[in-house]
Amino acid sequence: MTGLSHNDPKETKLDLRATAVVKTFPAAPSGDNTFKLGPVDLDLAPGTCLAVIGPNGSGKSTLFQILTGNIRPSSGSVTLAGAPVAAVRKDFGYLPQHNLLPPWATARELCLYASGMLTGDALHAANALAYWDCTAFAQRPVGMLSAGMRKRVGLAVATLHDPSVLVMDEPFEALDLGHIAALRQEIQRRTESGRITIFATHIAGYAADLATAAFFLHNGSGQMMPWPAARHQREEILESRFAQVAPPPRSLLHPARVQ
Amino acid sequence: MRRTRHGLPEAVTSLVALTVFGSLFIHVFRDIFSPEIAALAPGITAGATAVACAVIVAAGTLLVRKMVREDSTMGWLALCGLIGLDAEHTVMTAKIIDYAIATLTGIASAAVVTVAARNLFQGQLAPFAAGATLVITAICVATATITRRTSGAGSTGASRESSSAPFTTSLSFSLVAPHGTRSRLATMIRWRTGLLLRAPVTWWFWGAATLAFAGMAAAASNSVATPFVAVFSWLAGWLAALPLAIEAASGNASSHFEFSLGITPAQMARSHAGSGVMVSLLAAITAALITAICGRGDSMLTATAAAATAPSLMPALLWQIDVRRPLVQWMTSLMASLFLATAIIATKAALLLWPVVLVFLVQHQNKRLEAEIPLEVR
Repeated sequence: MTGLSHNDPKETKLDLRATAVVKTFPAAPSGDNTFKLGPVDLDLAPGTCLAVIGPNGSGKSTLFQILTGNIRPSSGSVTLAGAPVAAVRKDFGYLPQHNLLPPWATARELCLYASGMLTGDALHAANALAYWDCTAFAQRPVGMLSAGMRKRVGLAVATLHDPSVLVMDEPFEALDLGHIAALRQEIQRRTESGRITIFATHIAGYAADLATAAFFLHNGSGQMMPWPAARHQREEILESRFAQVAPPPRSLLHPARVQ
Repeated sequence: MRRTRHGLPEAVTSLVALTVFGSLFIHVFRDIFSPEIAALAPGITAGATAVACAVIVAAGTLLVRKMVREDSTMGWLALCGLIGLDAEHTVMTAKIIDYAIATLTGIASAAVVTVAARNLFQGQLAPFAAGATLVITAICVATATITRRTSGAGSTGASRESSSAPFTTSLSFSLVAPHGTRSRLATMIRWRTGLLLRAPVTWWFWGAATLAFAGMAAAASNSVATPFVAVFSWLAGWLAALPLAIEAASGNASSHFEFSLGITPAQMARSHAGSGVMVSLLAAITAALITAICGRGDSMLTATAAAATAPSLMPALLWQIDVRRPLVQWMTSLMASLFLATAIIATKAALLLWPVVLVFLVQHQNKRLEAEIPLEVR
């Protein structure tokens, strides 16, 4: 695998800035409490690989939707090289966690449609399908693929135009070992070539290996974490931070039966 | 992109079965149809049944052929043991099977032509009806022949793609993104309409709409008053519009895909409107043809307009309340289109109301879209 670099003349080393981003969801009719994300401040220089880490339901997906411009923040702003994110969506690649895609379109058609809209060059679609090993099932409807295959199709769509900013929500989930290696290689290539990559993961090892910075979210509040150079120190920081916020593991057995 | 044609035997079988059931419907209720339409039913039924037999035989043989052509399968090994062949005879055996398929299809096609010709020459049908029967059966035979050729029968080529795609996916509604000259919006409308046509649920609803159109034809051919004809027409249009709401809900769930291509919510809504226009035209043309064939020129304008109300309004209703719940769109489109269709039935001057309602709904929806697209997040 040789990566997805296009060597395009366009400027791809752009900085991403989120300033005092807040998103408030109103209370649901069912009585659920209001959820508030933020305020979040991020200033990511070109070549940053940011791992977003936090317990389930802490607001990671919401943050990603805001960063990619899919939903608007209640207040605050997100800019890429000074331009509002809504105006430069084509510079983003986005892989959501559940990765819902039109079920009756084939992988090949999705990539061709995306490349037609983004770059106008069908070769990019073919390259992405080949890199993510989707060629064998490229003619099958996405709705009939397994979770791992759908994830690879999502990766092909998100990366085919080699975006300046790639945002991935739990990208390693459902992938097999070979494609995890391919994804790690692609993330490293992007970082070395000055592009920004943001991903959420629950596996400390991936964050420690790949990220150049880490952002911890808990109950909607986030902060940058200290991120030393040594891998084992990074893992220790992550584990100790999680130990502070996550409940200790409990036995599935009833206490009486444990005794 | 090369088109995938696998699954066409199932598609043709379904089409023929639908034709048989449709003509049976006309035959059973022939008293309420005009004599010309009712006279078509026996010939169509006979011809379509013969074609169905041919297609079923061809499809079944294809399945067997596929099973035994795979050298490594148990089916192939079992067949070899049964007829005393070894694996080296693969190609020869495949040719024998191909010839068998060709012979069976030829016999079935000949049976079809015989049935149609007998109807024509023995005077069992009027010349017009017999001619129409012949044309329909010829189309069926041509489709079956194309199916046989493109699905691999009659050929010894071994490099066929295997696919378990449903037949609606295989009907070659191309979703290829055009590069270059076409506008971005045209590409999006084509994409959206292609997805709509591929979803099996679309065809279920359109089948129901066809039944409503059959009711309309029955009413029109029996000189029933225009309002009744128009009500059937409106019902058919409403049923034809329902899949638009399902497609919108599905599209909304995967809207992150289109947003990441730089498509704005407003553009997404316009592509849905494009699909709505196509369905409107389809419903309107069908209604116009039915009234023309049944000689009801007096009802044509009202019935045509009534058929187009729901599909034209549906895209402007999608984001009014909650795009994620098609049932909501079905109810709102029922109320809005019934209101408009009733007004049009009452007086043709109400056609002027149509653009007013449409503009109001579009403007209101645009405001909703500017606020936010409802996505599942958190």
